[in-house]
Amino acid sequence: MSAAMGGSIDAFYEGMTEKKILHMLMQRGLLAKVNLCDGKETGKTEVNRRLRDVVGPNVGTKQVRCLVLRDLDERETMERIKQGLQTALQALYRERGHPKAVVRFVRHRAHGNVYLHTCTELDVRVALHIATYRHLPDFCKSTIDDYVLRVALHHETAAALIKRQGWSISSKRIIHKVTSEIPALLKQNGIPMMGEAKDFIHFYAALLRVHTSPAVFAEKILHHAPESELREVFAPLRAAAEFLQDASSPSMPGDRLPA
Amino acid sequence: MIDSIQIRDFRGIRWGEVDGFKQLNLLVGPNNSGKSTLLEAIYLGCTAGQPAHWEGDSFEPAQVSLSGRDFLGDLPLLRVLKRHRYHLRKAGQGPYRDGCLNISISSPAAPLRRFQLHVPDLPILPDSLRDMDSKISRIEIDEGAQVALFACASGRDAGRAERALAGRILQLLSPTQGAGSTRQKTVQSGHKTPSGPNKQRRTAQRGARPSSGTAGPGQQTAIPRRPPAAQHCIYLWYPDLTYHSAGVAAWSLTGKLASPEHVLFFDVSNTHYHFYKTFLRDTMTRVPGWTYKIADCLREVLGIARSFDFHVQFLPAKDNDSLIQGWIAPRDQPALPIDAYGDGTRTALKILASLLSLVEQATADSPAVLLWEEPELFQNPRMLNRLLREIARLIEGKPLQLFMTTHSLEVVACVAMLVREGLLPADSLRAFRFSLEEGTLRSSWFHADNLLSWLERGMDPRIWDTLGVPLQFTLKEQEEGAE
Repeated sequence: MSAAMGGSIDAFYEGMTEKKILHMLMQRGLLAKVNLCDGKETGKTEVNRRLRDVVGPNVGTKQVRCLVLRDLDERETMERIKQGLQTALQALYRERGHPKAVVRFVRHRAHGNVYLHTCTELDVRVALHIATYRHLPDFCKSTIDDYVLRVALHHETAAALIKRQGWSISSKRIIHKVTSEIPALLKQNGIPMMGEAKDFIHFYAALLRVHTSPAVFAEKILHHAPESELREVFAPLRAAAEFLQDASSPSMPGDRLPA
Repeated sequence: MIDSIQIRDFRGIRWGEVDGFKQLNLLVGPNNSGKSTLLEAIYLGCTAGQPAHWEGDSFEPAQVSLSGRDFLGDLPLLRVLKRHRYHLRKAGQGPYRDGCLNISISSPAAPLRRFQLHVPDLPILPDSLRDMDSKISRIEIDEGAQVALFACASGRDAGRAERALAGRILQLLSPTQGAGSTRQKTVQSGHKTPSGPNKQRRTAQRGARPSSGTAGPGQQTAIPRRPPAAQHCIYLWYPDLTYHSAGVAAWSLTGKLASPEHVLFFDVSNTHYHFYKTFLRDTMTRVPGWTYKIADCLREVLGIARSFDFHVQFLPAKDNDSLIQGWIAPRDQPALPIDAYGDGTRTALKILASLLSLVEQATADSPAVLLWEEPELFQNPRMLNRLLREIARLIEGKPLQLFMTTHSLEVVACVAMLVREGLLPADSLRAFRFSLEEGTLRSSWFHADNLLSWLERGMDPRIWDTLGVPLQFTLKEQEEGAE
């Protein structure tokens, strides 16, 4: 395959939050350039279909690099998500006249929530990142919002957001309100505990008077977060992108990635 | 319907293979990526229909076919040569005597170098074609110069000798063969005494060919890719039309081909040329209300359905009485020749007039093919959109296969929208993106969902890499995205 036929990284994800996160990580120089492949329809069922539609014409004719971001929803398992993508890729290869191409995902050595697939003969690489971090163990699912929340609750991020508002309140107080006082208040009033990170994000945004969607709020959070925190929280995502980016790396480069 | 094509050494293509053609095929890609070559290969392949009789030492007398006239009455080989401004000249022919042409091809790589074609009724070059291009003078033209290719079949219905001949041609299509390759043992056929017209065999109707078949006993090696399917094989020895003047070209088509009289090749020249009178005569007898239908369609395309009432007429051209010219006759106003209008309107009238006639004549047993080069030419995007919609309406449910080359994202987007709106069945559409690297044709294909997904995301299916200019299909950004 000639250099002229080389491709870029296409990213597929469930919703706008992932898009904003990827965008901000790229903007801050923490992620290689990826093409953001969202569509009118959002949600997990759309991801594999979108991948097939976008990537299909390039399979076998051009370098293909795909970054797939998925949440770990309630009653969902990593194995099932991996299997679903595997099936979709197998169908894609079949459709494109390569029924014998093997689809096998291998777990990243350093990051258990990242799976990697390489098809050398078709010059295809796919990295699957599954959001497995949960802010609270009681949450019903792990989502990309959990990662955002973790960054948001970093005292430097909170301080930057407070400063942006021109307030003099300490970051510690804001974080305490989000993580302790509000949940306690809900509990006192007999209101069920918030079940997912997005609920916390909403309260957080309301406290800071940031009247926007969780996706755009996530972008603002990442914009104000310290780089070291972003590097740490999004290390698996960056490792997945690095696998796609590095043409010379071995198929499973986990040992070459930063810890 | 044509399913696939394999090409060796035809024009800029050293080797190429494309399969999976659908009813509606969009051919996109950079300049010099093989789109037009593919269109011409299909054109010449489908129009090789005039029966002739081939003789050589290694094969028994076999049936072959030469170019017949196409739907509009053009001679396809001449049309292709004219498109590239090649001077018409003899290629390999000895004199035409007693209904026979002796062919002698100088290229040492040619697998068939000396043979005899029995063509008692050699197509005569129409005066209109001679006159239209000053570079082609009467003195240069010999009727034999029109014969530079023949076609034969490899299917079971073909005769033994024909299959043997096809097998020899198909060998050329192997990716390991090609320009300059002399691994193929050449056939040296002696010149026999010409046979009279009564000895010639009629070529079988191509429409009756089976969908699969086996190679003939004369075939020396297996065909590399698709041996089971019946293939329509074309052998061309006009040097200017071969890859780097290799001397010979070969290609094959699989599927059910249109007969020559149902093949419409439409390019920029159609805008400026008149129809033949014979086309008008045939159409008027076969398509009732043709001129009224043209007027109705044209009104839709021009977007003047209610405000401008006119009818369409065809009258002999002033400068050549074998040609006819379209006229638009508004109610209560003098009629004007279509050539008085802009090129966009002229093109629209001519494609609509042609297609309205073609779709009425095509049948399941004798399907049609429309080869349309760059429909966007001369068209404002709005009118282009209406024209493509009208074309989609006309071909709906008809046994017509459409191949369109385009550089226009608007054409691609319009066709995709027609699918989304249900005006074209999704499974009837396929877009092919081409590139040509050192003569090797590469392609990738898009089904309707691929196309829609790409367009929605601002991705350009016409190009392989980046466009290099800040142009995107859509620049929508939902800052306050709902989640």
